[in-house]
Parts: sequence; structure tokens; C-alpha cells
Amino acid sequence: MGNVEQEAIRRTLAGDRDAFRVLMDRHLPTVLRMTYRVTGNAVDAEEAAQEAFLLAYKKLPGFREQAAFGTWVYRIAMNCSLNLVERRSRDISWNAVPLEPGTPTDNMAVSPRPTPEAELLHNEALRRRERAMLTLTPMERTAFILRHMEEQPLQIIADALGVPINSAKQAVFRAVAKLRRELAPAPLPTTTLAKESR
Amino acid sequence: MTPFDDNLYQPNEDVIEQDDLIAFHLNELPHQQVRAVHRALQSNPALQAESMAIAATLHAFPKHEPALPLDAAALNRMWRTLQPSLPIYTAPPVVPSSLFARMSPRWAFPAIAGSALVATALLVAVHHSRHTQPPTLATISTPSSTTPTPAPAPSTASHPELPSSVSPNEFNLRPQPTNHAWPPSSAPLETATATPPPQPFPAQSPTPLTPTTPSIAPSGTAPTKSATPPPPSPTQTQPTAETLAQASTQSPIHRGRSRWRSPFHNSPANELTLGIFGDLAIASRATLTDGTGTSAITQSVSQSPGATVGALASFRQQFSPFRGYSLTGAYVSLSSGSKGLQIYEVAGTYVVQGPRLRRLTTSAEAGAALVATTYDNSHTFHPAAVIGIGSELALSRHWGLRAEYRAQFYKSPALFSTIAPLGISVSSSNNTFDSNAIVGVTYLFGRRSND
Repeated sequence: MGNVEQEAIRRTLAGDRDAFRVLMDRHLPTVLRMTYRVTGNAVDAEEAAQEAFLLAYKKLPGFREQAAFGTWVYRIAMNCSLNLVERRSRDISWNAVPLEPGTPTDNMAVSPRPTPEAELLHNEALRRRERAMLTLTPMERTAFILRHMEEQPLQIIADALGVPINSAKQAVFRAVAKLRRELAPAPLPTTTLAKESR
Repeated sequence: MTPFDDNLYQPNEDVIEQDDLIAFHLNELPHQQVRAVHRALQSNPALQAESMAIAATLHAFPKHEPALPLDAAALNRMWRTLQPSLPIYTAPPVVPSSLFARMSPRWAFPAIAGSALVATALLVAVHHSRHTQPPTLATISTPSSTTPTPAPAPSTASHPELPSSVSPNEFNLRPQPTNHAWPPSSAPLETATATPPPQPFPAQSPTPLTPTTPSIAPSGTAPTKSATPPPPSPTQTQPTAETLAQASTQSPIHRGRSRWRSPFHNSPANELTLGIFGDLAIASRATLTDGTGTSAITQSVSQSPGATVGALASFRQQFSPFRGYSLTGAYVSLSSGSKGLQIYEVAGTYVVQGPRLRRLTTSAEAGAALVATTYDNSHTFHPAAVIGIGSELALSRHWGLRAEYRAQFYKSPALFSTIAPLGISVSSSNNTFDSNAIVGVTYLFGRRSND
């Protein structure tokens, strides 16, 4: 952790609330990328990111300066994202189609609209991908995104999700298996391949 | 040809499952299993197809994407959204850099434990030394080969050269009742020369102890010089008051018995006491008030007994039994929720000494103190009245144990108020009666007056 961040933490704890913005400006892009991937939409991504920074601020007196603030707030954001996804999965109205699509997210920091390149190259693949992701449970989705897309170690994922490492690993494996079935043109007859006869 | 290494896979593990392939692509397989999967993929087309499908699935979800670019407007908007929810932290309290202020509970308890160990060691050492002291005259018996002393005359006459104004007690020349065990004899007390003490008096070593026996014999039974004149000796000298005093003060026999019996045991003295105390605040309710009239903010605060340990240092100088003073500094740390409360006290008291019983002395003190409290970066100072009563057990010439009760009476500090964090100056209308039970180790400079 750099001296700038250490100084920002010290000033924040001394009563300078605006010093926390230095930390947020540095790490918000990374946190927001992850929360967007986990939650799947810009509104939830911002909400999870803000909740993560708010929790980090409140827990700042107990933060050990030997650790990296970025890693710390990232792990908090992991948990916030998972909790938000689980809350949304229980909220039926949240998945309802808005009357005016696009309006709530016009002012979002993360645009939900794909880039022109993605729109050109992966429009259909993107829809299939999003459909496939909907088949995952919040735990599987979060574990898969953190392990594959965010390339986080299983131990960190397990810590962030509050589950044993083996549970996190199995969640990742189940997620890949589900995605593989959803994205495959034709489902394979079996998921277990016998060893070639000796 | 088999793709599997029989050394790596047990019979029930000879199947590569989909999870193994997923772990293979996620780099979660152990190195040895990776080699086995590689060999299996080279020889099993179905396994190869499954592996390619999994790889394509993972490839559909790209990684290594850069962090999302956020413009300044987006950052500003998120900060404005977050900022109102952020509480403002208060700066940590500035702790005074005095000795007691630097005392933290982390090492206070080891220090207390060390002091207790030292006190215990001193107690054991003193107890052991008492059992290994030179024998007193009371324990010396007359050898059977010596001539018995004639029956003493019932004379209570003092030594002819001993001034009548000199009290035996002043020289610690108390009558020794154990002299009754001596057999009555008409012979002079030459038995003492036959069995000289282990460490004879430097000035009287060749001299019989006959002249000194009246000083240690019980009144009415000790032979006097006139009743039992000793045989003439060329080296015999008549004892004087000075020699008697010298003998009584230099002889280990007398010192061994008189150390704890001097009436001047407790004066004068310069003592330094280091002690610990349990702090107990009497339960009461304090009313904290800010402002006047309708704008007054009042809050009631309950004080409850607390089991807190503090540290104390005291210097005491005693000029006479009824004239002395004591300077005391004390520190105690309390906890209130997540915040700590430190109380410092500097006191000056007038000390008088009370009755004495062997090694035990008593004293009482009364005076004034300044009590400073530090809580949540706020400091308050209050004058206080101090009273105390205690006793001291002398362990040796320099060391002693002190037990004391002290009480402070001062105006309650407005420390636990929920009004205070708002930055309002809060006044308190009640008083605090704080009791301390103190146990400490005392060091006496110089020597006790009877040594």
C-alpha cells in the first residue's frame, strides 16, 4: 500500500472525511468492474460498490495497514455483490420488465449497453451468455465470475462468500457445467467419461 | 495403451470426470494429475471433445478485461451519493506523556504480577532470615560444668553507674524472663565466660558478662553486683551507660530481639511506596446539564461499582509521629464501551501515625488532590478531597508492605454523556466518591531509627 493511501487512511481516521475519496477514486473502477460482472446490471453494480465502500469506511479503524486497501475493499465488494444478487433473486418485481427501458440507467457510471464492437461481434452470443448466466444460482454465478473472470484464488472466494473452500470449488465446477450445457449446440449424452479400457 | 498412470490413479479413480476437466482448464489440478489428463486427452477423442467444449464455454466469458473507465463526472456523482452516509471520525485522544499516562494495560498487568512476585520473595526471605538469626541470650543455657550462681538478692537497685534517668526501654534493655531458667547460684556469673557468645562484643570479648547481666535479668531476680561480687579480674572493667548502650545496640543478640520492638519504629522516616489498587466508585446517579432555562439539556448518568486496577506511587516523609506529609500520584484506566477513560490524580496529604503493634504501624492522611480525566479526547480537571487510613508491615530495615484505604471526593466529570460528542460543554451537578483499596511495597530510605 502506497504512502498516498496510508496518508489518506490516517487523515480519514483523524476526521477528514473527504480524504476517503482518494481511496475510492483509486479502487472504484476495479470494484465496479467486478460488481457489474457479478450482479449483471449497472444499477446493482453501483449499489454493491457503494455499499462496499461504505462498509470499508466503517471498518476502517480496524483495518490493518499491512494489508492492501484495494484487496480489502475488493473482498468486501465480493460479499456485497453476492448478497445483492441473492436479494434480487428473491425479489420477483426486480426482474420485471421496466416500462421505459433504459431510463433508470441513463445516468449510471457503467453503461449497460454493449460497446459497438461487442454489439457487432457478439450480439447473439451475448444474449445466449446472459441467458446461460441466469441458470446459475447466485452462489454459482459469483464463484464462477470471481474465479474465472476475476481470476481470484479459491481461498479468497471462499473467504468472501463465507463458505469452505471445497464448497466454493464445487460451486465453480457446477457453474461451468451448467454454462457448458446451456451454450453447447447439442447437449452431450453424459458428463462422465469412462476411462479408455486398458 | 492406457493414458493413465497406474501409480497416480487408484482403481476407483480411474475415471476422468467433467470436474477434472473443468479443474484442468481453471488450473486447479495438481501438477501430477495435469500430466495424466494430458496423456488421456491425447488418446481419448471423446474426452478431447468434452475438453474443447469446456474451453469454449470458458472462452465465451472473457477475462483480463481492463477496469471500467470512469470519468470524473461519474466519480463525483458516486462520491456525492456516498459522502452523506459516511460518519466523521474523531481524532484519537492525545495521551499526556507522563509516566503513568504511558502505562498501558498491556504491560501494566505484567508489572503488577512482577511486583507481587518481588513482594512474595521479600516476604519469604525475611521469614527465612528470622529462622537463621543468631541465638538470643534467652536461648543460651548454662553449662552443667559451671559453678551455679548464688541465689540473687531481691534487689531492684540499678547499676551504680547507670544513670537513673536512663530508661531501660530507651536502650532496649527489657528484662528477659527467660533468665528465670538459670539455676540460682551464689557464684558470680562467670558461666558466660565459659560459654562466650559466638560473636563476642568487640570491646568486651575477654571480659565476663557479669556486669551486663542485670540489664537482661528480670527485675527482682537478677543478681546485682553488690549481692554477688564477681571475682577480681585484671581485664574486668566496670560497665558504663555508654558500654551498656553500645552492647545493646551492637550485639546481634540484642538487635535480633529488639528490631521490631523499638517505640521509635515509625519515626522519622522517608518512604517511597509503589502500589496497586482496586478502584471502586460508589453507585450513584449524576445529572449532567448544559444550558439554562428551556434550552437546558439534562442527562442522568448512572455510576456503578467498577472492578478496575490502578497504579500508585507515593512519597512520604515523617518528621515525628504527628508531623508528616505524603505526595501521591495515581493512575487508573477504565473502559466505557469502545472508548477508554483515564483518570490521573496528584495528591498532597498531611500524615499522622497511629498506634503500633510490633512490626505493624498505622497511619492516617488527609489532604487535597487534583483529579484529571481523559475521555474521548476531552480533558477535565477537578479538585478533590482525599482521606486515607492504612497500615504498614515492616519486612526488613528497608522494605515493608502497605495496605491502605483511600477515598477521593470530587465533582463528577461529564464523561459518559451522549451530549458531549456534539461538542457541547456539559456540566455535572453531582459528586463522585471514589474508593481505593491499595496494596503496595514500601521502601524506606536510610535505616529505621531502632536499627
